[in-house]
Amino acid sequence: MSIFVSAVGFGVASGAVIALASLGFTLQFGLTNTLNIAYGSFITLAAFVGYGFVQFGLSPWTTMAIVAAIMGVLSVAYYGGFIRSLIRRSIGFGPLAIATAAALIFIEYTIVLVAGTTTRSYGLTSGTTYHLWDFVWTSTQVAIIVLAAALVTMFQLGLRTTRLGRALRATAANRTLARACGIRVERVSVGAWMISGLLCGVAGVALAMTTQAFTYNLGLTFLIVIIAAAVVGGIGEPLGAVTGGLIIGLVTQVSAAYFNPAYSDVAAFVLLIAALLLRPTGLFGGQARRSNVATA
Amino acid sequence: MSWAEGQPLARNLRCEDVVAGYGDVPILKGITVTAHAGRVLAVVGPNGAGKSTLLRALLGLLQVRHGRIFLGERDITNEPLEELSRAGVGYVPQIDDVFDSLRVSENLSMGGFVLSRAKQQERLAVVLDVFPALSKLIRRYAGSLSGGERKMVAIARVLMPDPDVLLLDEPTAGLSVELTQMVLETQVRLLATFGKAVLLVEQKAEAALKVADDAAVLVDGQVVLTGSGPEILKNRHVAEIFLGSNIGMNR
Repeated sequence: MSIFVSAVGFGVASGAVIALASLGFTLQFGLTNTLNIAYGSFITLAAFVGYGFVQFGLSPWTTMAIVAAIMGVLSVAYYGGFIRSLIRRSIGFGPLAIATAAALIFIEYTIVLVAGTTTRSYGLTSGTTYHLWDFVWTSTQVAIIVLAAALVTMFQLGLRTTRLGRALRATAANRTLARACGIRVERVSVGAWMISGLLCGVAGVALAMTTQAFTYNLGLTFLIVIIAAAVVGGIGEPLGAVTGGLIIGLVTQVSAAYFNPAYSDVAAFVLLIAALLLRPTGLFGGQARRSNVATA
Repeated sequence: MSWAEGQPLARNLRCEDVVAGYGDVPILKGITVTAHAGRVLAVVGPNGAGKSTLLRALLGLLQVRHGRIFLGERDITNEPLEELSRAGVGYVPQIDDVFDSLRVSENLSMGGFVLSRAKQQERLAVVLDVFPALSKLIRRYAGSLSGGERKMVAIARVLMPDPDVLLLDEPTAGLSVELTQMVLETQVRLLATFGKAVLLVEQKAEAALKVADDAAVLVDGQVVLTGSGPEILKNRHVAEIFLGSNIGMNR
């Protein structure tokens, strides 16, 4: 089996986690025009809360479900108690992003205060190995790929078929017009932050499960990858975030296979810069441009 | 039988002595106007007169400091836009008047968001009956439509929940002379024919006054003249003083 095929296999597994995280990130951006830098620290928090449950003896999958619920609640609390009040004060896009960066530092150092700087690991064994065509995946990787595919499919279906989904689309496309249609956009925003928190929880635990070891800065490093995925796909576009996540996953893993793996995130940076230079609106940015989501 | 026949008249929108503005500066200085059911009220005036501010105050987008706004007998002063929509106030913005990234069918569906699915289908049939040309556009993305088509979608969308009052913010902005005439004389007049109270804010004063049953001329945040549209249109003195040469140029 070639190195390339093997890297592609890892890239899909890695891309599945990035896609979930990026979907949550882009949802916050699309609905409330917030570049939430603190999203990275929420990923870390999810990994650490999950670590606690795993240490307590719960299975990683049960842990993931519990952590997702916890992160959903925390995400809504963070939005309602912090972000919304800043938006109401009309502080502007840039200062809001800086405020979220401050929140990231606060959350990360709170984690350090509680859990220290020691490297942690869920300590999962690789378990059964599956051979699919020329790809080789561990049972954990397969489960995460299937879970990510299911969640993304559910999300996309929900956007089109449920009342909340329709309200999300309308609010992201044109907030004032959505209000003029009787859509209670503030409730919709809360719903969006809840969903993004759930996705963040799943992604955080999945990342910890597939990482050999992690520390308090897990999310900060991962944030760059998440932002790169969102930008490559078209920030504010759910399908773009998923596609961007898969692309970034593939590119970072393939580059890691041929160059020094320590520099794999550089590939994400290169893609991010290339996307900004060549297609600033991203792969799915046409829709974003039409709906003013990305430029609002 | 047309759709309008047999329809009960909708409620009026009454604005009483409204004062509103930005910061400490009042832009509206005691505005009193009424949009009557089944009639078009045109609010015209020069740039900076307070037309858009009035609309923002009516829509709950700007705090009303003094005075009251009534929908029928219900006090709707400072109610948020989404609640006004649910109460029966439809709004067509000047720009961004459709969901560009959604199909025409989805735009109409969003217009009827507060309705049950069954009621939505019922209203969709009615709206397509009123605007048969929409049937051919139903799968198109709203962002790909021409100016006139967009406006038709915007007005059709706002008709979906069957509102009592329609607030139209410069519906002819950016449209050609021919399209302006078509939108005002066909689509806007049609809304009044259906028994709706229509409040039309329009920069193209002459074109608006031609189709208006009632009109209010705003200058410096105050209503300086009211009357029927044709009456005000014929008053050359008024036109020269308040609208200047714009009245001819903005046709």
